[in-house]
Amino acid sequence: MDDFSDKYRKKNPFSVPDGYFDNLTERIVKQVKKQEKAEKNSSPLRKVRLYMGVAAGFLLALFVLQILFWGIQDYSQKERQENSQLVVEMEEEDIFDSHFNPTTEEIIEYLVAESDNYDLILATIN
Amino acid sequence: MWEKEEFMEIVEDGYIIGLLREKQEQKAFRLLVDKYKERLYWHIRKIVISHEDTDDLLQNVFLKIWQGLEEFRNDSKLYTWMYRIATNEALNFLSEKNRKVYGNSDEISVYLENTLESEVYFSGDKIQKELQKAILTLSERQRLVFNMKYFDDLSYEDMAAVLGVAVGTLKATYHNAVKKIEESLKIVDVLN
Repeated sequence: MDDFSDKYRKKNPFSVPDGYFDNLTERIVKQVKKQEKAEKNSSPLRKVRLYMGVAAGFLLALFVLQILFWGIQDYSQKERQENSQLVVEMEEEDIFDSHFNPTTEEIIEYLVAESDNYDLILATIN
Repeated sequence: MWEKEEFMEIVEDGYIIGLLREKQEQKAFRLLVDKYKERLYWHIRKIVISHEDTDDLLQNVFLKIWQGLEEFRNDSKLYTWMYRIATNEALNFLSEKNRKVYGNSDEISVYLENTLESEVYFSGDKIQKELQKAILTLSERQRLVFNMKYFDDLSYEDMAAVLGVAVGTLKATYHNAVKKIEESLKIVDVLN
């Protein structure tokens, strides 16, 4: 390593323009001040942007909630309509069939057949 | 607060840190720039080779130092903290350059060799240029370690603090870097 150091010498082979380091401190301090000023000036705008972003997010959330609410409402309405339709169909098909007029005996027979509690039904009729 | 001090002396880091504690950041910053501008300049310059690029990077480095002064913790040396910022800034610059020019094909040494050949601000002789070319054949880490040890005379402990690498690893890296440079220069000698 010593031979290596002797031959190539620990000399910095690079150079700089004349007087480069003389005003470097001033240049750097000036640049930092400028940057700081630019950031201060831009900060109100950044705040406005932040508020606008928050407001936009809030509106978007409201919009999404509104759509969801409409969706639920629509579904409920549709469900109600379907249910009432079903009732109508059931009414038409079974319960209030105008062609079906059972006699009292037929009703008793049906109830007896459908229930195990025969005595209770008879007691109710009598 | 930013007024120029007419008789700026080289001050101890402890004094600068004291100013920071007293919330006199601007005065501390001016002292820091004055004390470390040349050392940081040469450190960056050996990494990126070009004076123009170094000048731009040095501005960015001091801007980051200024922005980080409030968060600077006394658990690391002021000097190694700034050296670390400068190293990262220079390596990021090369990485970005590599991505833009070569599409990440890791040919940054070609770019640096071309920069070295065309650099106006190079006052070394032919032998020193050959040494610089040989340094450019090293890996990025070997190049950093070699420059910091050989030219900047940094201790292995300080280098470990800057690069976040164990002292033993740094010693091995430096040893391998020197061997590789010597081999490169032998080939150059034979060719000449």
